[in-house]
Amino acid sequence: MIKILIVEDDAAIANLIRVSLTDAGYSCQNAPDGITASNLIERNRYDLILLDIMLPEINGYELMEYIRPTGTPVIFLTARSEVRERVKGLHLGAEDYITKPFEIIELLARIEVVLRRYNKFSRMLTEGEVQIDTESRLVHKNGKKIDLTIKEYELLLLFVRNKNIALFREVIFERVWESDYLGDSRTVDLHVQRLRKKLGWEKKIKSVYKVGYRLEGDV
Amino acid sequence: MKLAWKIFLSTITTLALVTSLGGYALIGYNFDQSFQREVSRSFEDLIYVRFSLETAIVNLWSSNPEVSDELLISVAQQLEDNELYRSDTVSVSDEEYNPVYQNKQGDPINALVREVQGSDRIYRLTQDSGYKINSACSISAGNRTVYLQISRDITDLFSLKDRQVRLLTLFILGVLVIGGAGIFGISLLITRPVRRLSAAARAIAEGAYEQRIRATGNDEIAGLARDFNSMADSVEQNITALKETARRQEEFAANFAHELKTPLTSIIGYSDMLRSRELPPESIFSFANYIHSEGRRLESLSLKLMDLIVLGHQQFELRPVHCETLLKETAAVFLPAAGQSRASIEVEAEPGIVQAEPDLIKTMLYNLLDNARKACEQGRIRLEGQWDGEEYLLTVSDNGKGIPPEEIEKITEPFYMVDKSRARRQNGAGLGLSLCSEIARLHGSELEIQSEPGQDTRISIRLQKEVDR
Repeated sequence: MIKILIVEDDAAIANLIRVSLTDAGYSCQNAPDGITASNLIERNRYDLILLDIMLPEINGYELMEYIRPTGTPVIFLTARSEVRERVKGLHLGAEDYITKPFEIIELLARIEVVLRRYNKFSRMLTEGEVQIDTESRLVHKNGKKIDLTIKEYELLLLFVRNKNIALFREVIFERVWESDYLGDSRTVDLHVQRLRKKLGWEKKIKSVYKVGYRLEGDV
Repeated sequence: MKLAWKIFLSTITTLALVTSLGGYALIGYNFDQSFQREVSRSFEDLIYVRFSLETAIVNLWSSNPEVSDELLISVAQQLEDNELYRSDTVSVSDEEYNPVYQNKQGDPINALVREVQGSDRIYRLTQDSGYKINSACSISAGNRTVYLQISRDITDLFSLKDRQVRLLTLFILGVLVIGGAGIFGISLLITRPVRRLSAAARAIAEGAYEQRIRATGNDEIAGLARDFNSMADSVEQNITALKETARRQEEFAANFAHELKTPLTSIIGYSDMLRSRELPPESIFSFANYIHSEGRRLESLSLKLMDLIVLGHQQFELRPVHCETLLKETAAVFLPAAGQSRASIEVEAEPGIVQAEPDLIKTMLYNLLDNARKACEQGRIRLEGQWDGEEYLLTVSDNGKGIPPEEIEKITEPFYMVDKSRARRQNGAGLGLSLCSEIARLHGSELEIQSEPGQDTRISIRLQKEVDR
């Protein structure tokens, strides 16, 4: 289970992030100020740290000095969007820098990127009876190999990594086809149909009215 | 460096010109005097030779019928043998200007005699192998008139002049070199303060506003240095003030952005979750709650901010206001809110009339009272008004948490909150005291804050007595 430390002093935002990440399958801990955070970091090992810069007592930049020796990847969270601040954060060793307000799905995507870079993801993803080998890109259901096209595979990964979250058609299109969604395209729907059929997931991938689709996954 | 060069070159040139002109003039004058003396001496010699010759010839003429050339020659020769000639060359010529006698072998030395007129004495300066003064005149030799020419060598005079010129030139060169070095050194010294001034000015232009010059002495340059220093003082002060203002504005903007973005993140985040997931009822309620409270926070922030902005942009007129009435009305409006927090509020106001803008004072008091309410649980809040000489002292006090002494000067800064989490829970944005402080300023006063952490807090402002109509 991937462990993430959330260092954020605003209770509402900290809770928001914790709920979203837990839903996405990560294990989370909260630290509302720099002192608590440094204590936790000393005592525990984390796979990723989400760090707010404007903290009472010690600010985020100073906390980086504690974190860097542990080699734990850090994503900065902050309301300060000036280029100068972002560059400073990246220079101090952060893996990424996300500005408030953000969409949860963007936060999740960036977390994913950093974890993948650090090889924190296990090679095998399991959802129900389906097994995905992310290295060889082979998919098996109950031991039987399932043939998927490249886009079907990417779509499957997107659903599994964002299970239980309603994904908008635009978001699906932009993430899997990597270009702007033009609005009328039936590409997403066609691919979802095919994926449902191949995996027998007609009930598992639910249509969300006026929005898109959601994978109902095991929590 | 140019000034040093100017001083140096002008001084050197003047020196060179003056010494040259003077020196050469002196040499020239000296030479002229000497030359004239030589001419005089030449004539003396000429007269002497003529006299000698004329005398000798007269003597011989008495025993001779005529003066023949041979006679002339023998007379002249005799005088030569007796070493009577003081001149270099002597020549005697006949009426046709043919040389009859010369004391030197070689070419004829009588060219000048052709120019003799009557009994005049004439002279010429010639230069061939040296300088000579030739002088000539006529001689009465018995019944004949013949011509005499002598020459005097004055090459030495010219050599002397040349030597003097050379010496003077060397001397002038020496003076120029040594004096020049000295003058150059002095001009560098004199212009050094100017160079220092220039360097300091450049340093300041590049941002080193603390640069100053050492000003010693009483001359104009020292005066300039002192003036320069005071100008630099003024520049440094202004720049520092400007930087401070810019920094404060930047900080305000950054803080404001932060206070705005934080609740927005919650609102956007929770609403996103509500629409994209299947959630249990407790979660739905909890998320909706968050959205609501963060929304309220934004509301409070934007209202306070608008007040702050409006304050800065409008003209407010102070007018006579009854203090008692003002305070009692304010307390009455505040009562329900106080009641909710189970805080008690007391009003004790001395009667009087002050110059104030009543709405602004009320806004300020609401803010202070609200802060007091948030600071204490079931506490006592007092609203007091007392005369202190010509000023009316308005005070809001509570017996709540208090403010630590090191925080007191910072709490009126926009967005500053001593305890962020408590403030946010109570929908604070850190602007209330900025607002109050601005209102105090508009009344020509300032917030006076006294506090004992854990005991009580008193915040006051002074209002001026009503202006007599």
